[in-house]
Amino acid sequence: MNTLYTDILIIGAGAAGMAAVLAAEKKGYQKILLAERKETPGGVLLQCTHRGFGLGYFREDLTGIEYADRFRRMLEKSCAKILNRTMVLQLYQDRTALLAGKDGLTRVCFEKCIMATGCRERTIQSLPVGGTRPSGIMTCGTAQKLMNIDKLEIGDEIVILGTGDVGQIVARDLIKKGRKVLAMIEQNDVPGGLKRNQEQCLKAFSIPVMLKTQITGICGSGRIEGVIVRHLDTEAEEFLPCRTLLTAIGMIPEREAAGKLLEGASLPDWFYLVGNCDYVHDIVDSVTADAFKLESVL
Amino acid sequence: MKRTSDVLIIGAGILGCFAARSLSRYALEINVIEKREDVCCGITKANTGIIYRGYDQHPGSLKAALCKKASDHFPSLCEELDIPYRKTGLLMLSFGPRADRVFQKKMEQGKENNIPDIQILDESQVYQMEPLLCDGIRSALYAENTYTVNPWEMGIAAYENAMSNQVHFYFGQEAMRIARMDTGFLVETKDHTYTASRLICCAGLTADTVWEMLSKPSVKILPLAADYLVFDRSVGDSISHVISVEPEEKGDGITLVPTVDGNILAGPTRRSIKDPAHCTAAASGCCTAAPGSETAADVGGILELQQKCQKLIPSLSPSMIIRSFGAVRPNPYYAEPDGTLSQKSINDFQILEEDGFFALIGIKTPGITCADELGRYLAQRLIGSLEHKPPLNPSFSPSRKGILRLSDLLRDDPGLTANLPQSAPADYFEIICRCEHISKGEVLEAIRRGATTIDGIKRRTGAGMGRCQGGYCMEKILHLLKEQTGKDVYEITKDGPGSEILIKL
Repeated sequence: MNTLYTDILIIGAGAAGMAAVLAAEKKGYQKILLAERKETPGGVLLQCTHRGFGLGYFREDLTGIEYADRFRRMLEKSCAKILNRTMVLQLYQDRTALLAGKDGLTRVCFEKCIMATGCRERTIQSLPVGGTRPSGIMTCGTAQKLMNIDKLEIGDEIVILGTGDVGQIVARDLIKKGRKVLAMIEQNDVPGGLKRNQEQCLKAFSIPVMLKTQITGICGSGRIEGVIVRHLDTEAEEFLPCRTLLTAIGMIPEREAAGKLLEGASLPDWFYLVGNCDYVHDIVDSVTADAFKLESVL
Repeated sequence: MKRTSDVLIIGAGILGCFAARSLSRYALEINVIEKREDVCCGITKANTGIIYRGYDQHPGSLKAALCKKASDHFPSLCEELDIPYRKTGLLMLSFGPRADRVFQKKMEQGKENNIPDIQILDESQVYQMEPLLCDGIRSALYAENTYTVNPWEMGIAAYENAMSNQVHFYFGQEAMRIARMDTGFLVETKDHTYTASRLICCAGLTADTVWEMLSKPSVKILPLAADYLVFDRSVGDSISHVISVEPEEKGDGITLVPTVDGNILAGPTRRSIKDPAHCTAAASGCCTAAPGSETAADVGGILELQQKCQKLIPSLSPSMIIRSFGAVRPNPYYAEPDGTLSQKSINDFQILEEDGFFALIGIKTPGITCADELGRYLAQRLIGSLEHKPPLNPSFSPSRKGILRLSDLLRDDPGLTANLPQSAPADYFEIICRCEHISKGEVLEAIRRGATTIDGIKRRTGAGMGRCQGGYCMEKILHLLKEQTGKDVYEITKDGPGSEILIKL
C-alpha cells in the first residue's frame, strides 16, 4: 500500500473543500492533499445548471457550474495535490486515513484533517410509508444529476414529495422540458424553500402544491403507478396516479468516514468539519464563507 | 423451442436452487424454469434470515428433523458455498410468567429434539450480553448456535454451484400449462416447451396453483403479510444477538436481527391478507382498500415496529431507519375436494408427490434454515422414485466461490495493514456504493455472474442497501449495466420488465 504524508488532508472537493484548500494555503500550509471521489472537483455544484450562486461571494448571479469553475481555476493555481476518483473510507485516531481509488489503497498520514464531505439526501425509505417498492422513485438530487450531467430523461407524470429548494428547482427544470409535475406534497401549511425559489419556481411556473398532506403509501408493481396522499386536516386519503416520484425531504450531514472520531465530547484538535457535513446550509455562498473561516482556526 | 431433461424444476427461489444443486450430484439432465428475470426474486428475498436451532419444532416432525440437521451443518455449508454468515446466537426474552412457562416447555422440547445446547439465562446474564435492552427482563432462552444470513445470498450460491454442475436455468419462463405424457411431463411457457420425466414445483407463493395445473387441490396457500424495518449500520452494534420477545400478550412479539451486513433488521409484524387474489395483482389504487399486493408494506405495521423497537432498545431511534418493506409468507392449509380449507394452517413442511410430480407447497419458517436439507430430502425421494438409480455426476463439485468483497478485506484488518491480495484488480478500489463500500470490481463481477438488473446487483453485492438507498450508486450502476450488457440505458430495470428506471418520452 502507498503511504502519503501531508500537513493537511481535505476530504471532499465540493464548495467547502475547494474553499478549505484556499484557506489553508492562505494560512501558509504548503502540503495539502485534497481527496475527491468524483472525476473532478466541484461536487454537487456541477449538476446545478440554474442561477442563484455567488450573490454573496462574487456579487454576481452565477450558475452552480460557473461557481464551481471559478473555484476550480483558483484550485489549479494552488499548491494542493488533488486525488480525483479517490474516496476516504475511514479516518483513524492516529491521524491516518485509508483511501481507495483508481491508484489502489493509499494510507495518508496527516497533521490536520478537514472534513468537507457535504450532505446526502434523506430518502423516502426512512419515512413510514406503506405499499410497494417499485421503480421510478428517486431523490431530487439524483434526478438532477441524471438530467443535467448524464443528459438522461427520468420519466413523466411526476409527483414530488417535499417542497424544499432542490425540489422546486427540479420541478421547474422538468416543466421547462415539457414534463408534467402533477403535485408537490408538503406537510406544513406553507411551502418550504427560499423566497426567491418560491417566486421563480412555484409561482412563475404555477406548480401545484398540496399543503398539509403526506404520502402514506406507494402503489405499483414494476414502475410506480401512484401514491396514497393523506390530508392531515381531515385524515382523508386519496389515490394520486403518477409514474415518477421524486423526493426533496431534507439533507443529512455526511460524515460516516469520521467514525469514532465523532464519539467523544469534543472533536480532536486536529479535526475540522466544514460546510454541509457540519450542518446543512441554505446557500452555497455561506458554505464557502464557513470554509474560509478555517484560516483563523487552522 | 423444445427443451428436454430428466428433471424439470419450476421456480428458482432458494428452494428451487437447492433442489437443483442436490440433484446435480447425480448424472441427470436438469432444467430449472423461473418466471422472473433472476433467481431469488420472490419470498426468498424478504424474511428475517435467521438460521434456527430447531428446539421450537414439534418433536417427531419433518421440520424438527431437518432443522436440527441443517443447523448442525450450517457452518460447513457456508464454507462449501462461500456464503457470508454470522454466528449471533438467539436470546428469547421473558417479561413475565407466561414466557417463563413457555421457556420450560421449549427446554423440554429441545431435549426431545436432541438439542442440548440451549439454556435459560437469568436477568443479569442477559443484561451482560445485551446491555442496551430495556428494563424488566426476567430471563431469556439462549440458543447459542443460531446464525444469521442473507437468504438471497444462500440461494444465489446454490444457483451458481448448480450451474457449474451443469444445471440449466431459464428465466422469464412462467409455467402456463402442464400435461402428463406417457414418458413424463410437458410444461409450456409463453415461448418454450419443456419435457421431463420428473417434475418438481418450488413455485413459492404460487406453488398451489402450479400443483393444481395437474393434480387435485390438496394444500392451499393463504399468504400472510409482514412488515420489516432496517436500521443503519452505525447503530448496528446496539445488539449482538438475535433478540426475540416471547410476549405475555398476543401480538407483543418482535424480533431484532443483527444482519450479516451489520444492520439491524426488525420484524415481522403479522397480518393476514384478506383476499389472496390481490396478492399478485397490480396495486393501482388499491393499497388502502387491500394492502395485499405482493410486497406491500402497511404503514400501521411500520409505525408499530418503530415503537416496539424503541421500547425494547430505548437508544434505537426511528431516525436511524433506512428502509422498510412488506413481505409475504406462504401459509399452507389443507384443502378438501370441495374447496373448503382446514381451520388451522399446516404446521409441518408439506411435500406432495403424485406419480413423479413433486411439490413443496407453503414452506415457511424454518424454510430458509432447511433450504439445503429440503433440497437433499427432495432429491432423495426423487431418486428413490426412479426405476434405475442414476450414477453420480462424475464432475460434481460442491464448492463455489463468492464475489471477493473489498469491505470484507478491509474489515478483516481495519488497522491499515490489510493483507490485500496482490491480484486484486484496480477496479476493486473504485468505490461505486459509498455507504457499503462496494467497488466497481464487485459490480462488474456480479454482472459477469448473471445480474441484469439494479436489484440483481444489489442482491449479489449489497450495493444500494445502505443508508442512501442507491441515491449515489444507482446512477453509476446504470452506466455499468449499459456498458456491460450493451443494453440501452432506458431498457435497464430495477427488477424485470415493467420496472424501468428511466423513461424516455
